Amino acid sequence: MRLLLHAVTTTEPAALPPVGLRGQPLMVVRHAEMSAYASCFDAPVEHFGRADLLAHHDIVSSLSAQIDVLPARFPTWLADEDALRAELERRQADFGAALERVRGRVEIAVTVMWTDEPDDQRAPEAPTPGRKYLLGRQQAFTGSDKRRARGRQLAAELARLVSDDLVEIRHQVCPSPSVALSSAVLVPRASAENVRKRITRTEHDVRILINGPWPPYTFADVV
Amino acid sequence: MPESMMSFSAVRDDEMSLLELADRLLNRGVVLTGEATISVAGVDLIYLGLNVVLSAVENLKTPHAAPASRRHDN
Repeated sequence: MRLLLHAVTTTEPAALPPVGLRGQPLMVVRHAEMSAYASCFDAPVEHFGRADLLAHHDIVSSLSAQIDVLPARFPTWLADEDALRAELERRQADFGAALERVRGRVEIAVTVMWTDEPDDQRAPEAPTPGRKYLLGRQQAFTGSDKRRARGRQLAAELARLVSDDLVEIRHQVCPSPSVALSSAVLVPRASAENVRKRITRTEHDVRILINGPWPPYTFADVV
Repeated sequence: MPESMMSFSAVRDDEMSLLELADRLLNRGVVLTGEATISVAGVDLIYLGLNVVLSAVENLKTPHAAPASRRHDN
């Protein structure tokens, strides 16, 4: 038997998700004051895909809607119940502290996407190939710096917009060519909808995508 | 067309939401040191081709990598 871990908590939900990942049994392993929720497999799964990620998210979300949980990084396998209990024993203090950090709180994901191509995608005009190359390099560096500066400005603006309800915020500025900012915002569960409304706005150069409330994935980083 | 332009123009909101979620599921959360046998995620995630997910899939191959480097503005 192998266990695929979904979440760790200290309380019991009123209702468990009916089944685990891929229709496998969902098991609760209790140790001391901790409970861990895991899907039971006869053997480890070789490959996971999008459907598995979403199923794991559904299970964690179902638990998180009822109780405070620490989501497990996907996929986390344990050999059996004893191995899971040993981990719960060994990490009890860490889990307790992390659960206190996320208690009563949810994560809002904010993705800010550029609405136009970066400047460095447009080839510069120059009379010679050498000059064109140098202008292109200069344009790439300048454009990148401008975008990073704008990304940092957007991060500061987002933090200001949610400051009334903000518990913690983490940013990634310009994580990919199309994304100006990817932020995780930890807020009280009761404030989530108001926070979403406050973030919704129009900017001339970016488009803002808001997801959540999600379980506090970003803030359950117990390693 | 350059790859970066393809990824820029091809990403829809629902895809981006999935990427953001995948980044969290694969990179964040509790890490245990039990029998951490990790498999690479499905090709469909890699196919989307954004840095967030490419990074996430890389982390699938190195399950004990600390997440601290992805926590803040780089």
